[in-house]
Amino acid sequence: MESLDKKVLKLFNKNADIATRKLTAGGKQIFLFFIDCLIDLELMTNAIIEPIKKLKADGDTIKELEEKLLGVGAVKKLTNLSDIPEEIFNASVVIGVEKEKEFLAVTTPGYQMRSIAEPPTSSVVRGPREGFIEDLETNLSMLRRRLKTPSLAIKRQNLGTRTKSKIALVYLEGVVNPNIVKKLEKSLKQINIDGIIDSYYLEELLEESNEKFFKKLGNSEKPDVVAARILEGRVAILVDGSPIALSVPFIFMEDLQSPGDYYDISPRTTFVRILRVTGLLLAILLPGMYVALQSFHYRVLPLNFLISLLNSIEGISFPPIIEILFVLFLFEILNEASVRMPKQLGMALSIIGALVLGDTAVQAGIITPPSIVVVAISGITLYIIPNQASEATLLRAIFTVVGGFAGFYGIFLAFIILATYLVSIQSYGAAYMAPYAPSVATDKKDGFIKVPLSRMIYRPKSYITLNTVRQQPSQNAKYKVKSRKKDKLKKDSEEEYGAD
Amino acid sequence: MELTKRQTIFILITCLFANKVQRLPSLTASHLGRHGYLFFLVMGLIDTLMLLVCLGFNKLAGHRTSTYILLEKTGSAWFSKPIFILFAVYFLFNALLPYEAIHDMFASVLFDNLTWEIYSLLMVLTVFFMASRGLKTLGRLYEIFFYLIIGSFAILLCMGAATTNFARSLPLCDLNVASFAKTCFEYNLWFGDFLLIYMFVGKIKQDDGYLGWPIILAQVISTLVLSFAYMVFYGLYQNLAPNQNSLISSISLYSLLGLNIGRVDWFFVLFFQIGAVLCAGTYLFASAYCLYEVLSRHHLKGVTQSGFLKGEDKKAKKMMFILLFLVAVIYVADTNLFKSNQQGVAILTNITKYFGTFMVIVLPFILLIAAAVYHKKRKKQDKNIQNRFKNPLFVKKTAKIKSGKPNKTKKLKVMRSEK
Repeated sequence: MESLDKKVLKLFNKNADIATRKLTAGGKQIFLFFIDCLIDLELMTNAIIEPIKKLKADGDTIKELEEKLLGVGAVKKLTNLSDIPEEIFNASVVIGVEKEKEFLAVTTPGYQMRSIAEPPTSSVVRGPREGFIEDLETNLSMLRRRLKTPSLAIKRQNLGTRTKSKIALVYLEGVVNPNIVKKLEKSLKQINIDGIIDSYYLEELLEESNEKFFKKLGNSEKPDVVAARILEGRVAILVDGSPIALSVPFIFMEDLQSPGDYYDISPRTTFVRILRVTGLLLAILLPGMYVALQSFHYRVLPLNFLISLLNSIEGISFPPIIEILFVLFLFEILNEASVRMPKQLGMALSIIGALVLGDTAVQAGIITPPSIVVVAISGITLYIIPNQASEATLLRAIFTVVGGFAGFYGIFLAFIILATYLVSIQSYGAAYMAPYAPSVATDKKDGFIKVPLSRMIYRPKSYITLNTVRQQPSQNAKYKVKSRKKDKLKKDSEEEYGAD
Repeated sequence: MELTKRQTIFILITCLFANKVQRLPSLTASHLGRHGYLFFLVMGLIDTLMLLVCLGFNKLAGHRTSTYILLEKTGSAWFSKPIFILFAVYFLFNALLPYEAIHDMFASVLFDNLTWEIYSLLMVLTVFFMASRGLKTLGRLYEIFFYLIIGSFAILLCMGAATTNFARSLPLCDLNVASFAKTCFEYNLWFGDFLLIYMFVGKIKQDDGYLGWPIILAQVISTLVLSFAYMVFYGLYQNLAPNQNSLISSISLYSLLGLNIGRVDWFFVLFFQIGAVLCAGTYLFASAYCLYEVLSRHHLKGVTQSGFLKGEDKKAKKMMFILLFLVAVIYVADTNLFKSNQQGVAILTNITKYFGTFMVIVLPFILLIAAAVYHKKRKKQDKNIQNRFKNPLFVKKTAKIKSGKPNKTKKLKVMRSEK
């Protein structure tokens, strides 16, 4: 008859790094299966091996181990042999006893993790500074610490036929629209891919339509932001191995809101948000407008400025569109290089970028100073909303080409097409351009203009939530709170997603 | 429901301004001179009265039934189809107006040379993309751009008003009534934007705010502003007003602001022209929708109403593209066939003056009568149903059908009644 260790090792590939430890206690042969780089060996010795040594000769060994001896919290009984590999890959030690059908999986993770730090793209002057890391359990603990309510639901599942990545859907029961959760679960079930390496994989796979120019799932590296979104009735999706949490439904306005906005006075936040929108528009439109002005509509410029512009572009042999596209191309190359280049070479890159490519190219008559200024302004403003930088970079190139061929007329029409596209898309039932198109009056309080927190009585109404009231106004009695009727809500939900 | 009341009001106001402050003032100035503002006042007043009739229709329709179904239920397909064909033609003509206005602005103000072919191709693609995305998208677009359009118009008007001479609009009493009436008759195609509301009946959400008074107020204020804009325009150009291509691009020409910071007013003109593009898209959508209603029942199999309204139907998109292509062909032909645009306009007004008068003044009353008949019929039906429920024999019969297994004849009866 085949021994237990052979039976288990048969489940794995020949080259799998599975370690086996054979012990004899109470007259029985006991096997431990594990991957030593994934588990805490000291914990295994103290909490598993030592108790096993105390095992008595009679009785059900697995039962005794589970109920009396093992000194670790997370113990799971396995009845199928096929469940063993998954448990071992998830940093468990699997205990098997010769001639017994059941196994025990004891979780003893001991792998190295990055420590919690402030995310580089969402740093704040005031407010929490911790960010998610690549471990799902740590990330969930950060959310749990913020949302101490029994209604916080965490639904787990594994995705990826080979990676078996752990996914968690986190939401507030009684607040979130259950149809969104159902729809997400259904979409997750339909995913059949070999591996989910990062949450971005899910971001693409969970999109409802084939129109994928703009992202339709929110993302954040900060637990305070994700907790706030969960409180607003959204569903957060966390993936093991990714420090970025996703959230649905998503609206465009979310990317204009920064975590720091909620830890600052409202007038300042309003000012900064208007700056951000202006910055985004400048980033996308400025190079195209410059090309259009120089090529077709120079009469729009003030006379003095026109004279100085003409002086500075004198002697340039390329048309404006080629010149700007060339500078944009250089900017993108420098940008790509600076992300991947070792830090020690950063200084050299700055010198090459500023002096060699900038100053020398101007002196050589390849490009003009105004075009560098225009691309520099556009480049800086591009990162005023980092989450939209990828889309804005592409749009900037499109608008530049359009401006070069059809002037303001082309830009004008392209802008209308862009706006049409933006208002027509939606993310899990929420209009992408809400609360402005369609207009949702209560949500505008956290739009371009932000009102003080005491006046934000309701949860967002741009999408359906089961509980719309967020706070009872104790000081401001003039704000009346109306709770949406459940029947009407059910009807609304059915209209959006269809009756289940 | 595809539109909110707020979106409906925005659509009406934007369409009111988009067409009328382009070429119409210079055409009016060539006939009426300084009395042109009265033309805008009177035509605006007629529109307001007809808007009241239209709102009456909307109320009688009961907010749920679409205009086409109402007409079909009142008369028959022979009654509803011709009316909707007329609507389709009228909206198609209206889609032509912004098409020309935008060209005027770009070709004569911002570009030294912009060929009709390039202009038309880009315009057709944009308007098609916009209209094919459905009514909901159109409504949301108006919400996004409304304040920008109206704000730009207000700024341009203020820039013009600061330098104009209002005394040039006086004296008032030497008005030639016959010429005035003739102009009103000829240029009515530019008015009657309220007819769009007939297309939105049954598609407007009823649970937020009022449609009635705000929309009338908006119409009245828009009429007054349009008259004022004409006064500003005529005050600036006087006898040269008929030679201007467009009010909106010439009203701020003498503003002193441009001396120091360039022609910033042209940016506002650009922003305002977004309204003209939206208007073209809306009229195209309305025209295509009318044709859909006429053809869909028997000829366009597979085209669903919700698919059409949401812009999810490929057949509907094809239909729109053909219509829009027609608009482009008409206009490219117009500019190449006639000596001048004025000649083209003269031919257009000759074709449309009777048709426009019928659509703006006669048709709303016909539709109101139809709505009243429908309302009466529905009331009678409701009463009959109530009486049937009160009849004990009927109650007994239905209870039997519900409780026991109906035999074959009973089953047949039930099926017939369901049908």
